Amino acid sequence: MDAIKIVDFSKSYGNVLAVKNLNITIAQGEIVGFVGKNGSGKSTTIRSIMNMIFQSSGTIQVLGLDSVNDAKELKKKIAYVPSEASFQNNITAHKLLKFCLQFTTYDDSKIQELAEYFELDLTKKISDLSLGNRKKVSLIQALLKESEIIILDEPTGGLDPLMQHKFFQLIIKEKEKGKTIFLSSHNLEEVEKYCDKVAIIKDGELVDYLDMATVSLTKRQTVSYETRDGKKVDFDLEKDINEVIKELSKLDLTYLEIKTKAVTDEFIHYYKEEVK
Amino acid sequence: MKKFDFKNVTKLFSFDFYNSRKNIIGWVIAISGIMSLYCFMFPMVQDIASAKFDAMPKELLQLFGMEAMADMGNFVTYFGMVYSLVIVAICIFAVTLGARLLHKEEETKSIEFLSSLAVSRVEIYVSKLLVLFAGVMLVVSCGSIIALVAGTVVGGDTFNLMEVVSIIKICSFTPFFFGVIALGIAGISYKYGTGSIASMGVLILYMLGYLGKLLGEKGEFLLYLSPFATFDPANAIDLEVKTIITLGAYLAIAAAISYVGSYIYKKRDLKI
Repeated sequence: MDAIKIVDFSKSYGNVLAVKNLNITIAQGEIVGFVGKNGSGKSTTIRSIMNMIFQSSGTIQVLGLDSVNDAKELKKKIAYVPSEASFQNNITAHKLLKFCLQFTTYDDSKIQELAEYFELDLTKKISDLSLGNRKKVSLIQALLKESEIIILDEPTGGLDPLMQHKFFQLIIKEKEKGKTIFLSSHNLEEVEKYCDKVAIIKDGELVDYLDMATVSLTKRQTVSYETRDGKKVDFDLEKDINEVIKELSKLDLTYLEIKTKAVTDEFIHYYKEEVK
Repeated sequence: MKKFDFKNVTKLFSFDFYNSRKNIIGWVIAISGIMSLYCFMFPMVQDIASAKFDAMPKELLQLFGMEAMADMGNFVTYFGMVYSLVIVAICIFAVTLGARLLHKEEETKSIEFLSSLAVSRVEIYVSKLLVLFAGVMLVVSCGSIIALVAGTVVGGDTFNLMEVVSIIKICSFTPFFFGVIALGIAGISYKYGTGSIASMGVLILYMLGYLGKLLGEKGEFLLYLSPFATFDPANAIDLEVKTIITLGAYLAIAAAISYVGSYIYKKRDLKI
C-alpha cells in the first residue's frame, strides 16, 4: 500500500488555480522532498492532505484512507509540522505538549527527553518564545505522536544550523523505524542530503519527480579556470579528468576549480526563467 | 474510529477553557463588581433614584429599559433595571467570546495545530460551544449570586426571591443566544465571524427593541426581533405564554444556526 497517493489533485481559489492536476505517489518508508518556490502550491497540497482545505478535484489517499471522508483516522496516522509554528499563546510549552499527549500514548518523560534534546525551556509561555523555539515546540509535538507518516512543511525555518542537524538526526531515526517522511523545503541542500526522492512543483504543476539515487549516479563535475591574460572558462567535465589536468597544466592559470555539480543545480534548472 | 467522540470534546474543552481563562475571569470580576456596587447600594440609592427617574423623560427610561421600573423602592424592580443594563454588557462578552473562539484560531493560524490532532471539526466546534456556555454561565452565575446575596442582606421586605430568580432565568437567556449566534457565524464564515461585527449586531438589536417600545403598537413587531425587549424583567416576572413561545422560537433559531455553523465549518476551507 502506498503511504500517500495524490491523483489528479487540483485546487482553485476563486479564479486562481493554485494546483493543477498533481499526481504523486509516495511509497512507505521513503523520505520524499517537495520543492518549489513560494506560492508554487506546496502548502496548499500539504494542507489538503491534512484536510484543512478541500481539493477542487482529484483524490488524496493516505495509507488507503481518503483525506476527506476518513480525515480523523488519517490524522491519527500523520504527524504534522506546519510552516508557521502558531499555537495558543496563553499557555506554557509544557502544558501545550501535555495536551498533545492526550491524543497519543507516550508518557510525560518523552516530552522532557525531546525538550532536553532540542534545548527548549518548557516552563516558558508560548507567547514568550522566539520563532526558533516555537518551531522546536512544533517539532516536538509532531515527534511525540505515534504516527506512520511525518509531514514537514518548512521544518527547519527559524532553527540554527546545529538544531537543524539535530532535527535531521531524529528524522533519520524515524525513517529507520519505517516511517514515511514528506518534506517540503526551500533548503535544497537538506533535500539533496536526506531525501530518497524529490518532487519539484512549479506554478502548481509537478515538473519533475527525481529519484535521488539515479540523480547521484549521474552527478557531473564542472571545471572553471582563469588564465593570466584574464580569460575565464567554465565547462562540464566529460573527458577523463587526468587528460583534462594534462591540458590545463600547459596553461598559465591564476585560478582553477573542479567541483561536483550539485543536485541543487538540477532544481535551479526548473527556475531558470525566473533566475534570468 | 468514532466520527464524534465526546472524550475528545472534553479534552479540547479543558484546553480551550484554560486558554480563555483570563478573558472569562476578567469579565467575572467586572460583572461581579458592577452588580456588587449597584445591588449593595440599593438602600442608599433608592430615594435618590426615584427622584431622578421622575425627572427623566419617558423615552430615556425606555432606552435603558426602565419604563416599567417606576418603583425604585422595590428591590426586585431596582434589580431588574440594573440587570437589564448589565445583560447588554454580558451579551457583548458572549458574542466576542463566541466569535473569538473560532475566528482567532484562524487569524493566528493556531487552528493548523489544533486540526492536525486526531479530532474532527465538529468536535472542535462543540468544544468551543461548551467553552462559550461555561464562560457565559460563570459570568451570569457570579452576577446573579451577588444579586441574591445583596437582596437577602439589603432588600428587606421588598426582596422576592422567586421574582429575582425569574428575572435572572429569562433575561440571562439573551447572552447565551447571542453567543451561540456569534459562534455559528464564525463557523459559517471567517470574514464575518468577528467579535466587532457581532457586538454591532447586539447593539442594533438592542436599539430595535427600544424603537419597538418607542413606536408603541405600530412598532410591536420590532419587539419580537429584539431578545432584549422580549426577555426584559417585566416579561420575565409575568411570564406569559407569548413570552414562552418566543423563547422557544429563539431557542430553535439558536439551534438551527448552531447546526448550520458546525456543518459549514466542517465543510469549508480553514483560513490559514
